[in-house]
Amino acid sequence: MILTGLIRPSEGHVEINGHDCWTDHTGATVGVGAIVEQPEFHPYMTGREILAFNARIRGIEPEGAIKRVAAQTEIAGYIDRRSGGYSRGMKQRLALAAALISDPEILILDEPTFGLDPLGMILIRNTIKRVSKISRKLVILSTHLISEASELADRILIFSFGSIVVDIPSSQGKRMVIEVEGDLGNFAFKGVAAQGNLLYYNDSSSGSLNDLFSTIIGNGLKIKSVSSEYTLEEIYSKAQGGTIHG
Amino acid sequence: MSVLKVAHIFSYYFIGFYRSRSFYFLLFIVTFAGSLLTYLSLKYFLNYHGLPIFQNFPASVLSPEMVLGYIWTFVGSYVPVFAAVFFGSSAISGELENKTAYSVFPLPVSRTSIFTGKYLASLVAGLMIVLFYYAFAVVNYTIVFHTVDVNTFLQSIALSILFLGAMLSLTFLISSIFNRATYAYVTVFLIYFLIFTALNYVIQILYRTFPFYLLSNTSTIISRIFFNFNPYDLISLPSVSPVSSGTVLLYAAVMISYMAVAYFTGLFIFQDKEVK
Repeated sequence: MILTGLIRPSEGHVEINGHDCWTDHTGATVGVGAIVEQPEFHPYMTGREILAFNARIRGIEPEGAIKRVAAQTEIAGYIDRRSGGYSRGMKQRLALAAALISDPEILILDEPTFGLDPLGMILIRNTIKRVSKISRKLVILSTHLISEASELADRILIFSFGSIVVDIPSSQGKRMVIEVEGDLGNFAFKGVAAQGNLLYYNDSSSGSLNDLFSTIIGNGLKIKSVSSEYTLEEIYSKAQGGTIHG
Repeated sequence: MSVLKVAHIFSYYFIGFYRSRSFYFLLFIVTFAGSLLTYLSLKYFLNYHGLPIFQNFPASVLSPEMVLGYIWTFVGSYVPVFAAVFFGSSAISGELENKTAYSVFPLPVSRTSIFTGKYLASLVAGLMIVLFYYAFAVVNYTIVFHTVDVNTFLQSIALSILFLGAMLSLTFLISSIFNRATYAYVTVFLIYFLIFTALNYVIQILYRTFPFYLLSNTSTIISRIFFNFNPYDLISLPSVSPVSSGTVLLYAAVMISYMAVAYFTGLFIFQDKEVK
């Protein structure tokens, strides 16, 4: 909300590319696409007219941009219908299309899958993945769904009462710790870190867990124990003052 | 403020107004009022000699052209009030209440451009309603008298447009204060019909002066250019002559003042308004 210039920071200031988000909102949001909460659209306007308006405000030619984002977000089937008749999922997709209309450098997404059915969630998440991984855009995602953060994010910040209390790579919440017996001296498995007699495996490791176990045994080592480090849910719970289980 | 962005905002919101139920509801109200007055005009004014008013004031003193023009424009002076309330009251508050603010305000466009574009869109939408009503009036006047007082009607239309602008500025100001459109609607109606009316009579009774600067009183100039009868004035005697051009200019200046002061105050509030 602060990043998009909708509310004023209670203290300090926030800048995007050197522009203050509150006092120079126009400058700050030039390269920014955003979905804020559950956006609504003017009910008498069609999806195409709404996207054309977004494009024109950003100084770009609407036709090509609309075609591109309609394909990205799969809204082509109903783009010429008035938005007053859209379901929550259709509105959310239209919001994502509007946010992507100018191919922005930064995408700010505030609860983009809130209230969506599973298929709608998958579509939105896949689009976000494409934008962030393939187009290499910075995506700032605000969500209460920890699984979503874990799936989409490279880096996770957990806030409590307005302050960052956790700042971790998302992989940390999925790390498996494998204790082995034997000499790990020359052991190598892509993406797996070795420390002492411990191996750290996470989702970004290139092989599967089974491959890793086979490699360990193939190297004449013995698996003593396998345990997982804190999950993101546990980290979140602890950050909010709860206790970590297990 | 970018003129091009104001133009984009204007066209986007104007299409929205033009397609909205409010627009057609207003057209219906105006058509209904116009139809009633058409009945009055064609039934009674085609042969006005039998009307009781012309038994007290002969047509040589109080011309039927003046009376019919007055009646049409007096009723017409309420059209800008309703147009402004319908199009202006939800301008800012409605965006917050309906959460459309979340899809428009984060765009790289200044609050000044949004405010100005929306104001102009409301003004043009309201103008269409006002002109539709005046078309009714002019057609009736022409049918009854086989001629039309172009100059006086043009003056009346120009004053109606100024009044519409002033009312819209007032509604935009109220709309900038509230987060719910209903509060804005009710507040504007209360101010216009209750507070202004109460102040009008209190000031006249206590100070023996007509408070022409209250917007509801200022709007009377729209019809008083036909003949100078002001039903809200307890102090002055009515006159069968039209108001003087000096009075017209004074009232126009009051409307412009309302328009400017309320517009910039509303804009100032909107620029500092957080969307929560």
